[in-house]
Amino acid sequence: MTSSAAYSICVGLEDEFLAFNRLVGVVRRRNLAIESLSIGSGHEAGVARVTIVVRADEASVDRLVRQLRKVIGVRGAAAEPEASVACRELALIRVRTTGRYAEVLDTAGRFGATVLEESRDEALLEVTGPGPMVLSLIRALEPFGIIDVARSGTVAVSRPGTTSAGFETRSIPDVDSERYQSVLTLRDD
Amino acid sequence: MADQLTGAQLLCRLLREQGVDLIFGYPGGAIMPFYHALPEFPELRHVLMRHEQAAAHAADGYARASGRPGVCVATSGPGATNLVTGLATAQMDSSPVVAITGQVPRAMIGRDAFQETDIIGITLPITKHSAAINDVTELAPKLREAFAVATAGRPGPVLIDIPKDVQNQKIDWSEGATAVSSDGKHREAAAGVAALQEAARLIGEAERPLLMVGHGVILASAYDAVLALAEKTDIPVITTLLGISAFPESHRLHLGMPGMHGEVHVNRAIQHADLIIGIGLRFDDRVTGNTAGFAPRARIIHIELDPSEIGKNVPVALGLVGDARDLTSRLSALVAPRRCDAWHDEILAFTRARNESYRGELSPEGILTGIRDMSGPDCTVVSDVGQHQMWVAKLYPYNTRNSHITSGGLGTMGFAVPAAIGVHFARPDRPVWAISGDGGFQMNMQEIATMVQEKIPVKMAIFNNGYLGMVRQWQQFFHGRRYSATPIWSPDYVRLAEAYGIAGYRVEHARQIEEAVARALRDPGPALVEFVIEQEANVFPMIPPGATLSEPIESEPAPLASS
Repeated sequence: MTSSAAYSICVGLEDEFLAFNRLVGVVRRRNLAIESLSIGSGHEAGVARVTIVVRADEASVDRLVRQLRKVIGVRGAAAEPEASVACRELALIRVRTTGRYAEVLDTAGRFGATVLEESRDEALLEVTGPGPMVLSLIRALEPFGIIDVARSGTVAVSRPGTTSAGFETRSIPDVDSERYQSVLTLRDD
Repeated sequence: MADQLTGAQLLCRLLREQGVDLIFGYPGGAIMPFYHALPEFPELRHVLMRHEQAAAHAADGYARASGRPGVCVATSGPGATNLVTGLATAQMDSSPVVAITGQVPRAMIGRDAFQETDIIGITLPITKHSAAINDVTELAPKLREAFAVATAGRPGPVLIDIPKDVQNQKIDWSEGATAVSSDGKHREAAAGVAALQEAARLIGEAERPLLMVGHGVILASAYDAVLALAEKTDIPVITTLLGISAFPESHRLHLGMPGMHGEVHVNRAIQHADLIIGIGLRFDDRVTGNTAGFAPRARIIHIELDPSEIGKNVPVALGLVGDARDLTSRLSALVAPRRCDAWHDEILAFTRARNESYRGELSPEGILTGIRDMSGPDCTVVSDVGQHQMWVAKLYPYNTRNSHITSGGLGTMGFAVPAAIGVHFARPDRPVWAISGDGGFQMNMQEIATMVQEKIPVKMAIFNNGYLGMVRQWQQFFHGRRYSATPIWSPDYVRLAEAYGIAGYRVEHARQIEEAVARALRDPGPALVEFVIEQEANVFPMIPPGATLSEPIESEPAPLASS
C-alpha cells in the first residue's frame, strides 16, 4: 500500500449542472478525503474546469481519475502530485481593525494581502496563495476579530517546463505508455 | 416537408428511427401524452407489465438476449422510482437499457407536485447517462445520444426524463439529418502491437496458463476469437457467472465456473496458475475471493474495453484496452501454437466429485438435467438469485452461445420472471425458462398476468425449499444455524397457475420431472412447474466470505458446530 499524499485532479467538464452532479457523485461514493473542490472556467469556451485536491494513495487517485473519465460530460481528467502543479487559492477576509489598523495592515502585508475596501472599524482583505498560506493568514488575523471569510478553493495548473499541459492533452492512457505501465507495476508491489 | 408533431409523436418517431419495435411499460399521469400518441405507431409494440421494476428487467432481458437496446417506459414519481432496481441491475451487468420517464410539467418542477420525484438525481449513480428534456427541441439530440451512449463501448442504462408539457409541445419536424454526435465515451485506445506481442510472449512462456472469460466476450461476440485462442494454445477456459455460455461447456478445454461457488478444481487451477488471461471480466469479489490471496503465482493479462477496470480489483501485469473480439483475434494470430498437457493432468488431479447436498431423491441436478433434455439446445435459461442460481450456473451444460442469463453483479431477486419475458421477444421461436427460488419468484410473480395477456410462452420453474435458501445456508455455516427470517411460506403454486389460467405442475419425486417438464413445454402458453426440493440442500463448494480461493468448504459443517 502506497502512502497517501496530496494530488490535484484537474477535470474539464461540459458546462452544465448535471455533469457536475455526476462528477461529484463519482468522487463522493469513493469516500476519499477531499481537501478542496473548486469549479470555474478554463481556456475552452463551454468547458468548466474543476480542481479537486484529495489526499489519498496513488492507486485510489488513479482509479478515481479513470472513473471520472467515464462520466458523460467529462472531457478529460488528470491527476498530478502536489509538487508538479502550481496551486493557488483566493480568499476575501473581513477583519476588525478597531484601534489596531496598523497591526492588521502589517500582518496582511507579510502575506501579500491587499486591502480591497475599508470602513472605520474593519477592512476587507484579499489574498492569493497556496492553501496553507491562506490559512496561516486567517489564523494570524483571528486575534483581531474575523467577521467573515470566503475562500475560493484551490485551482491548479501544471508547472512550466513539465510535460503535462493539463487534462486536455490526456486521452485514455495507452497500454504501451510508460506511465501507465508504471502505475500498474506499482500496484503489483 | 416538415410535419408538425407533438413531443410525444416525435418521441415515437425517434424510437422507430432507433430501430425500436418493442416497449415494456406502464402508463400514468405524466406519461399520458406518450401513451396517447402510441396507437398511431402500431409498429411500436407495447407490453403492459404489472410493475415498472419488471418493465426494466424485461427491457434488460431483451437487451441481453438480442444485443439491441431494450426500452422501458414509466410515469413520474412511483413509476420512475420503481425502475430503480432494474436500472441498477442493468448498470452492474453492462446491459443497454433505455428508460423513458414522464415528469411533472416544467412549471410544477421543484414544487413537490403530485407524483414528482427527482428521478435523474435518484438514478445518477446507477445509470451510464441520463438527461432531462427541458424543451421539445432537445428531444431528438438527447434521445439519439441516449441510444448511442447505451450501446457504445461498455453498454449500460440511460434514463431520459420528459416533462408532460414537453410531450405536448409542438415542433416542426422534418425527417433526415439524423447524424448523432455522441460523447459515448467509446474511445477505444486499441492496444498497440507491442503490448499484444508482449501478451503472446507471456503466453508462450507460461507453464500453467488459464483463460478467464466474462460477460465482455458475450457483449463483443468474441466467441470464435476466444475459441480460436484456446484451441491454438491448448489453454483451459474458465467462465465466470456472466461468462457462462461464452464458451461451449462440452469442449475439452472448458473447466467451469470460478469463485465463491466455483468448482474446487477451477479455483485450485487459479491458485496454481502462473498466467491468467482475463477477457471481458472485472475480477469481481465473488470471483476472486480475498484478492490478497487470489492467484498468488499468476501474472494477469487483462483484456477489457473499459480502461477503468484494468487493475481495479487485482493487479495486472499487462492491460490491453479494447474490443474483446478484435484484441483476442489479434492475440490469437500472434501466439505460437502450444500444448499444456502436463497442466491439464495437474488440473485433472484437482477434480473432486461434486458434493451437492440433498437428502431427497429430487436433486437440483436431476431437475436441471430434465429441463435440459426436454428443452433442447436452443433453450435460454434465465435464473434468479440464490442457491438455484448457482445450481443453474453449474449443473446445466451450456453449449449454445448466450443461453444463460442472470443478474450477476447486483444479484437482484425477482429478476428471472420479467427478464425471461424480454428474452422471449428476442428469441420468439426458442424455449425460455425462468428458473427461480420460492423467494425470488414471489417478488415478481405478478408478471404471470403479463404473460397471459400478451401470450408469452415463458416456462417458469420454481425451486421450492420453503426457505430463502442461500441466506439460510449462510446462517447454517456462519451464524450458528439461527434461521432468522428465512423460512418462507408459499401459496399453492398449482392453484396460483390455475387462477391465472395457465398450466401448473408440482413435482415432488424424480420420476415426475420428465412428464411435468414435457407437458409445460408442450403447452402453447406460459406454464409453471414447482419443484419441491430438500429444505436444507446446500450449494457446495463454498468459499467463505473473506477467505481465499484455496479455502473451500466442501461439505456439511459438523452438526450444530459451536459458534
